[in-house]
Amino acid sequence: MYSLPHQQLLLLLAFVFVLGFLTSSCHALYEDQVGVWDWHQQYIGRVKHAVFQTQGSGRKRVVVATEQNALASLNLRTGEIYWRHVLGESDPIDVLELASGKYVMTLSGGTNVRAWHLPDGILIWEAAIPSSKGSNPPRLVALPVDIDNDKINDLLVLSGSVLAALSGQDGTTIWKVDISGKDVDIRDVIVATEELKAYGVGFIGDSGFTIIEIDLHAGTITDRKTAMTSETLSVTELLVSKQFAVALDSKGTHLVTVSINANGLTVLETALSSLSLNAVGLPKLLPTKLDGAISLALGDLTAIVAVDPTSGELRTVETLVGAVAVSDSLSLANSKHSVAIIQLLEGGHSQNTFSLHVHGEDWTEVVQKETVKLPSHRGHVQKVFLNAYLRTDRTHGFRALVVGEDDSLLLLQQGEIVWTREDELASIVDAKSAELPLERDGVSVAEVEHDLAEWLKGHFLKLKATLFLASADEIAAVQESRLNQADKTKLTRDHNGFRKLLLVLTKSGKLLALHTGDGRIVWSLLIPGFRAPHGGPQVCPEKLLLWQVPHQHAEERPEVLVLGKSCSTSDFPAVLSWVDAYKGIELHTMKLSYPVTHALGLPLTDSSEQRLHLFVDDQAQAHLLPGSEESLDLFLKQKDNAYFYEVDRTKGIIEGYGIKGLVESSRQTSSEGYLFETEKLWSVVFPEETESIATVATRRPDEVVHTQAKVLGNREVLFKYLNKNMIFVATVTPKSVGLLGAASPEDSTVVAYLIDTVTGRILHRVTHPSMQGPVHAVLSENWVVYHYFNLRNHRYEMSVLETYDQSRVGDKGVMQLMLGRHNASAPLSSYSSSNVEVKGQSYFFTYTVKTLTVTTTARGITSKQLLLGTVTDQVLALDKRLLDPRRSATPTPSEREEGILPLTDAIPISPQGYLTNGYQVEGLRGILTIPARLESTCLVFAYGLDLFYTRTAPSRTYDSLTEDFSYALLLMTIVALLIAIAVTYVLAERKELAEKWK
Amino acid sequence: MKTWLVLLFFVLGFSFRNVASLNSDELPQDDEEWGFVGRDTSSRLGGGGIGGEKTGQGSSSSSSIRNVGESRRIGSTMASSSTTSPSSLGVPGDKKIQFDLEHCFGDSEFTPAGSFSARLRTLPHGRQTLFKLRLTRNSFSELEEKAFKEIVQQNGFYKVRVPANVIDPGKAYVVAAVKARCLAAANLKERFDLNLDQGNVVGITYSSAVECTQNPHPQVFPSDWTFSSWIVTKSSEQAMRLIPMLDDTPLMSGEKLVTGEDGVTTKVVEKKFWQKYWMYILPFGLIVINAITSITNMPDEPASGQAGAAPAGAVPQRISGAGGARRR
Repeated sequence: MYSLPHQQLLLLLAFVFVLGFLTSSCHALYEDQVGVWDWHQQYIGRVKHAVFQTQGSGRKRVVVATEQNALASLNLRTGEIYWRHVLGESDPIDVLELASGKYVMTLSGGTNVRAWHLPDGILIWEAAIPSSKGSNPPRLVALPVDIDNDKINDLLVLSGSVLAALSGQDGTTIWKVDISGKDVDIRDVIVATEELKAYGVGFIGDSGFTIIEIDLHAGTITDRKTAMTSETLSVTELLVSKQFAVALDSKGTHLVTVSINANGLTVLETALSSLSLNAVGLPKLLPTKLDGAISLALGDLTAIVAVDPTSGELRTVETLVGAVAVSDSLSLANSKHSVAIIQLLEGGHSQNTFSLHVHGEDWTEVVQKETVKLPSHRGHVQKVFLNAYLRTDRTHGFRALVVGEDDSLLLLQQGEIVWTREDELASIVDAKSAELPLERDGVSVAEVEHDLAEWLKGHFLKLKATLFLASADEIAAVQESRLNQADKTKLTRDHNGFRKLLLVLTKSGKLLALHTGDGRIVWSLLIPGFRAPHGGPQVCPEKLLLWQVPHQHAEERPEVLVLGKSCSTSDFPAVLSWVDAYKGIELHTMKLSYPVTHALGLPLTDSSEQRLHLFVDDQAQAHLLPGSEESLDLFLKQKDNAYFYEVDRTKGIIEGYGIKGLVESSRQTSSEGYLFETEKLWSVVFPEETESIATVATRRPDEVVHTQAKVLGNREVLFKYLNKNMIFVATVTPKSVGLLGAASPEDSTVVAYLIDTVTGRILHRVTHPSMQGPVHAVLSENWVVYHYFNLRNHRYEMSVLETYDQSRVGDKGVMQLMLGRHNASAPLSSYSSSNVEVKGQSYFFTYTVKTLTVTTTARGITSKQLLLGTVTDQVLALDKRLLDPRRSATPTPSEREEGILPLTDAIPISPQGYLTNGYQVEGLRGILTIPARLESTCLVFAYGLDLFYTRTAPSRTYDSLTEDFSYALLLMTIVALLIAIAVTYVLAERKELAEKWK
Repeated sequence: MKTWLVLLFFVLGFSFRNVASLNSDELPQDDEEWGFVGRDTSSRLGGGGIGGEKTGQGSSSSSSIRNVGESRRIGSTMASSSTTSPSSLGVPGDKKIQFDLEHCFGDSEFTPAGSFSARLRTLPHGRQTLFKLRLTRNSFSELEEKAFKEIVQQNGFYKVRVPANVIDPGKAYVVAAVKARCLAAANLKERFDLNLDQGNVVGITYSSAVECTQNPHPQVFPSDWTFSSWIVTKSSEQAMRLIPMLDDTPLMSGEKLVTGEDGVTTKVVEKKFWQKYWMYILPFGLIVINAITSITNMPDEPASGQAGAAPAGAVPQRISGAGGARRR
């Protein structure tokens, strides 16, 4: 009798002990959890300028500037980033130079000169040059001399018509001179160090050359020489070297050379025909800097032409056919010139060949030649940067930095690729997710996972770490096993749906599949259908559409459709390319005969689960794909219910269309899609003077809504107005579109609309006076949240609008809902007279927002979080409950029971809400949310210049145990309890016996 | 909610009563006032010019001043009788304006179908409002009737449009459409919801006055070929201005301001010493008390003269002692 309470107490204590360990709820991330299910990758973008720093004892590095306005220093041995800065969008780097061996000089927009410290990338100084007219590319020359006697070499900057000398110490302007006059257009500046003179070289009108001599110390023009030509010149390009300048004549038949020597300028005109270049086409001078030579393109021919510095005579050195990239030349010790040439050899299988030619003095014969084969899947090489180093045997070795057509970066040295950077990932255009293949029967799970002993051992180690008993080595081992879980990176589907493929489409026309486990590239494809035969891609990838997502036929492969448009003109026919999402192979491609203004995925799939798509052309006609009889039959059944809308931002009009009949003649050309006539049904015209469209937000087509009703604290029911065709449009006053302060608070307004896109009905219209864009918005379920700037309070604001269906107002009460006596299942029609109640509220918000999205889960049960891309390039998760229009200053007890928070004027930001933890997703542009199969969890992929992936559980992981749940502890506790029960039982029996014997 | 419904019924009821009252002697007088003298009155047969007045600026203030505002959905008031807004007639600066309603059947060109008339008032601060909106509907000609029947058979759309800028009509038109069968089933009882912004029409919702959700709708022809129009005008709601909740109350003693990471300053009551450290003080106090009692008991023990090995239970007389030994 006595033993039982004793046992129970023991049990209870043990349970409390165990629970204490297991229920440590995780609000944020612990230090050792970083990298367990998230990853972060840094990129720089497409390289346009590069300078090598290989002298001295310091670490070898290459400094690069990219088209994404990033400046970075890369490790020359590994390609890793030492440091990186991303400049603003309107701050492109035009010139990149090294000065004094330890400074990186950049010139942005012709006006901003910056000096960065080479070892650590710290900005030393920044100077602004008064901008002057002129569209010529600006120049920056790092002088090898010191003008202002501060023992640091100075700089010359040519921007427009102004030539300025800047102090290398702090960027102050030493002198400034306007060197262009009437008709005089100075293009480049060269420096003669010994004479302390600078020479500006340019055109006089279009019929002569001029050279201006400037004293470097005083900054005064000391001499001016001119030479007139008999031909009119093409003033688009002037190649200037120390001893000569070369331009083309306006007809493109002659090369005009001007030699610069002590007694003046000598002009020589050479007919292109005399250079034995057998090609037709308009010649073009290439801006490649070759010492004592020039390069020019003529048709598909690229020629290197040597220039005699004294006479100006020309001689063809090399002619190259096809897609060629030529590097700047490097001058070696004994007047040799080396130049790297990369050629794409078209043939049976196209291949890039890297050849390095070292020419003797005056570009005579080739004295040294190296050839390396490059992988061709990176397309035509766009740029080559060459660097020389001294080998151990005192001969010259070369390394080259190669920029591929897909924007990737390679380093070549000693005939092999030392490293590769996948920098195309810095310019993602669109991203989608795809499921991985199912686990096959052949692959045993046991092979991948450990055996039981090892599994227990791992958990025992974890337990020791939890109880602070583990040694440092053991903790490291636990961390290691955590980060490298074998099942994290498997290429098969997992039970929880965490492992997926992220399909990303990049600006360069490359499609890549990334694994969500560790962010590695599973496959990549430079889409062949989008590549132009010569030069850069004419087709810009635009959109990624999920063409086929197999559910029933799991053995089938998912397919994605990539839509490409012309990069420049809008009326260019579109290109479609179908890609296998498992293998990364282009299945087929199609050049359409019509341009596509937008593409719509219909909620219909055919028997092979191919999704039906409508492509709307510029005549507002709809084309149905796939062009099969089956899809046509499917669509014709639903034709009367198909509507689409178009937004014309320039005119400020939204127009809605209905589908009319099939154009019978398109049956013959059904491979391009069945053509349907359309009919304009409605239009919404925003007043031109007062409103221009700032943003349009739509619902995710694949969004799942769990419940239509919202049960209030007083057991009443609010019915959400869930209209799949509702869009949110925000307009701003056209005057206030520009910079802040462009319009006064009185005449700056943001107007928010909720529009039904089937009927064109404006469901709600609310004006926010004294507000300004940019507006960011997200629409989900029955609510929309938007973000804008309040000009009166000088703060950002976020507003929420929630729509409720009042026409179902009779079905109040939970009991009625439960007993089915309600009309919630009645279909909602856009044509039925709506009775929408809109609740709204506004809050102050601290940050500028770059992008706004919302989490999605598999069934829509889990509460939602708003994901904001902040101005600091981080992803902030905000609970949707904070943006509830029903918040009030003093919530009633029933409202409190519902979980309504008391009203505050601002949205509080919790530091734990940052999903990116300590990372920054530099240049954040978009956030993709993907539902996992586990209802509580949503996968988040943020992309910009960097990539970041993580998981978030807005309502905590209520449906699974946490990763660090200690199974071993549970097991051991159970075993210990069983033993304790047995022992106490025996002891109790004995005691009882002893009592009885007394 | 109920009041809302009541209001709706009231409005509905009132409007139908007004349709009937349109045949009274008041309209011709109105016509003159609006300068439509000479217009064939037969063309307005049943032309239910039920005007709508623009809803007032701003939403009704609700319990919370920060609400964006409850929607005042249908801002239609009866404008056919001048009693509703007697002051409007005499206000200087009011202007009569008139703009066309055009219609088309399926693919045909837009042709005039009637005309809207309204009063335009320029408010002191330069804003303009349209009110007293009425529609004079032309009845269908034979050709139009035929075309209408055709689109009813095809289950097509009957479309209407009005200029986007009604004061100074330009090229932009606001278009709306209704399924012809719906309109036919409703016996040409139509409803226009005009979203107005000053002198501009932003959007129209054109529907049959009777609910039409069946799809496909049965093919019926109207029994009476006269239009009965119901016009509702809607203007924009104005969001409530968000006023910073300034906490003006002076700092109480012990309070201090703490600026959080988001830049929001909050008042924090600084905890008292006891509030901060009670969890340390309490066990410490207990230990001290325990120690003291054991020390006070200590000198008694040798004095008792009993063997130290004797169990505590063997000295019951001590328990009742004033020292209150806590040993058990």
